[in-house]
Amino acid sequence: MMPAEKELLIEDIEMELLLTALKKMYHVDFFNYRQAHIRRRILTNKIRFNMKTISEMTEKVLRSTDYAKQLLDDLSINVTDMFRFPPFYNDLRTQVMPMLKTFPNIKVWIAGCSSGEEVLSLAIILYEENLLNRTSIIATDFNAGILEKAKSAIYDSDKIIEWTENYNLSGGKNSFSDYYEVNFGIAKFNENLLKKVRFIEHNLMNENSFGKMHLILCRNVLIYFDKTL
Amino acid sequence: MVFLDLEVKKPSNPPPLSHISRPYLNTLKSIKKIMKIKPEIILIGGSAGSLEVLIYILSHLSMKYVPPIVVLIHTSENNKSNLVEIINFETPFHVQSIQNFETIFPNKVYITPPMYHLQIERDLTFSFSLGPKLNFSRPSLDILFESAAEAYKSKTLAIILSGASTDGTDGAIRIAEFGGTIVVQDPLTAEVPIMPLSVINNVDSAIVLKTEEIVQYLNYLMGD
Repeated sequence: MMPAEKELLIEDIEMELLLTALKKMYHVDFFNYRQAHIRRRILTNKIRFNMKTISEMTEKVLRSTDYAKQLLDDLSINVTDMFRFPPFYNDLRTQVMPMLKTFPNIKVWIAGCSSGEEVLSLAIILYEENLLNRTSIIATDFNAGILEKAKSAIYDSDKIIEWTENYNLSGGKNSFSDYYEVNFGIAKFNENLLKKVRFIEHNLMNENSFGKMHLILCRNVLIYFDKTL
Repeated sequence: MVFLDLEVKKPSNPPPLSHISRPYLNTLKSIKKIMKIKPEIILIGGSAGSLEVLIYILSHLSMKYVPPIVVLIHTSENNKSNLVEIINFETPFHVQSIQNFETIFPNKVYITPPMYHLQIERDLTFSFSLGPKLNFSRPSLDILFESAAEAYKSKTLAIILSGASTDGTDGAIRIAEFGGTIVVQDPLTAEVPIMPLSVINNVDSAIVLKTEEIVQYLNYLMGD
């Protein structure tokens, strides 16, 4: 057996122990996530925090809440942008909005909302279709910290150029800059966009749903779950 | 099965292109003297200048049975959607894109779609993920290669073609660590030599071959 193969066997056991620690201490279960993906995230974190072994990470998870939160953050990160993949939002405008218009009160659930870019994007579309006032949105994520960020509607301004292009490609009716202000490299989006949004901490794997919904968005969360989930 | 390490003399600094001489490279003749390990997966990676080479290789393979072939070619966004059609048209294999969770089967050529990182799980299924670009690439060759090494171990064969970045080098190192085989398109014949050169400079056991030789080598490996 090559040394790399032997080391891999050991790391596999270490990873199982780490995931067990996360499950027992923090009730977050990554066992049914795609393992190659989780392994990569764990190793990236290990390098970032200068740990020598995965076992060292397990010990820290058990004894340091701060570190455990960092690791959970790393494991639950989504790359998310406003109007990410514009064709999707275009379809939302042209195909979904006309259907939603027929309801007096619209209920939307965004599952796995992460830092909120998707929430704001949807809010903007609803606003432009004159539907925002009669919509209530529930935005959930199992990571409480990232929900706080989502509530703040504050982002780094260096993504604005890319986001502006996304917005335009998605069929935006106004000017993207109508919706935010930039000061000192920070872009803050109009608070009114989030007036109809409730941010709730919620774990898709453990908990129940929120009742009947007209629209549920769950992009890029399910790809991480494996077949049993 | 014993994996024989090939002794390669590597120049200490990357030589200027015009000075690369064949003797220090693993040649086709010397490779045939070692025991052949039939790969259970073939990965082909490249970027600029690799498409023609890829099509040449795939359309000249003569074996009846091939292990799964996974192709990851960095092209501009527009081209990627036609890649499956182009390669399907030009070659005799069943060429398809990839679905998340799909089981990997032999006698298929899989084309990596754009936008997501692709990995191979231990249960030999495909797995997509998001995450920052690595070496400005998403999908990343390194991420694919590393997962393949951990799933197929010494039965992994990766071919690195012409390309403009060093994406794939770390992944090639990992494959070599597990006893897998690395084949590199001869940089002298590559439209953009950066990608293959980077692998040569980092993987001692890399086998450097011209395009026709890559075909001969694959036919040799998979034949009886």
